[in-house]
Amino acid sequence: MKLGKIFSRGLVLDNPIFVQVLGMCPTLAVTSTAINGLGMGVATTAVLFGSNLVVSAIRRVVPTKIRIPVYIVVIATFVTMVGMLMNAYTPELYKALGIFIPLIVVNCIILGRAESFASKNGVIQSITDGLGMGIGFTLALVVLGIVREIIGFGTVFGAQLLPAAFEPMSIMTMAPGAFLALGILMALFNKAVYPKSKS
Amino acid sequence: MRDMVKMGLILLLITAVSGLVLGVTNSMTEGIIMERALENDRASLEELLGEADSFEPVEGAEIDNVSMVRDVFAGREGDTVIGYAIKLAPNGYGGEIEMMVGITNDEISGVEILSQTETPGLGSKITEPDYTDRFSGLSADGDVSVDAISGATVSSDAVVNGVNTAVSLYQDFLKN
Repeated sequence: MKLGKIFSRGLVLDNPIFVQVLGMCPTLAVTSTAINGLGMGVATTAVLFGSNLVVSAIRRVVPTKIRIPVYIVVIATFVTMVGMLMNAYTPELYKALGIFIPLIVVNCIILGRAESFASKNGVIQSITDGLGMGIGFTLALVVLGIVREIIGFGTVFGAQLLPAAFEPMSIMTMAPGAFLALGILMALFNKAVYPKSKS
Repeated sequence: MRDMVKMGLILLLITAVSGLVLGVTNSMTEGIIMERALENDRASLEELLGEADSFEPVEGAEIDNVSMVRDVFAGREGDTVIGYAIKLAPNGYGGEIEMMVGITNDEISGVEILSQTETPGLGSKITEPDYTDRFSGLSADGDVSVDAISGATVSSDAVVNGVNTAVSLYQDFLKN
């Protein structure tokens, strides 16, 4: 498969959130604002990039029976690194995302890509796949964050968008709003990407 | 049997490499993180006790006995103590909220949230001046109460709880 195709698959046809519906925990939890969604997306992309790279590089050495513990160790290592680096260099974002940084370990996109792609493909393809999936994840989180932030706070990336007369609907910043926004966005996305699907 | 040993060794190798990488990253970032934590303390002290020209830690069994109180600093202007800053960590919705309460002239001079892991976008609003300013100027001779943030009652209550603990520590011990 061509690299471009591998990359774009993560963005659209196999979008981790809107199509594969993976990693719902951070998706629903942190997207109350666009900037949180972006931060989470970038952190996840970095982990996905690193774990796909390493898993692919060691795929011939790791016996099948212990592959899952090996993947988890690799993923946990990258997540802890990203957490430390964010704490040191982007403290504001680290504070805002809090517990959801360590929880990237259990984000099923990452283990999913390690198992279904990186463990069967070469390093270059795996990196491309990691980036594509990561950026697709990030875009979805940012879109979700923007929608929720506009309705829930009247702002976008912290900048006032709607006039002060607009009463923010704070339900959008809470869990029910996350489900509502995600459901509607997912429906629109699938309608646009798979218009002729019969099911 | 042989397979098992081999698998064990491979796993050992991988975890060892992982440990090494993490150790290196930690030693790279540890200093920066600690330094910033200290700097934050310093900045908060100056924010809360603006007139003071020096700060010194206050110690004593009375302070150690109050749960959630971490540190107490006295702000001095020359030789006179003009106020206290009390650092505490009440439990919020998502873990401990590290905060500092300043008290001068029997009044709360301000509240600063140093670190927290509350729900982003909801509980995390306790860090915003819009919320912390509600405490400024309140009298420190009894329990205080302010309007909670809607959707973040637990986080708001935790901050109020912290402020009240600081106030009672001030009344019972620091004031005298």
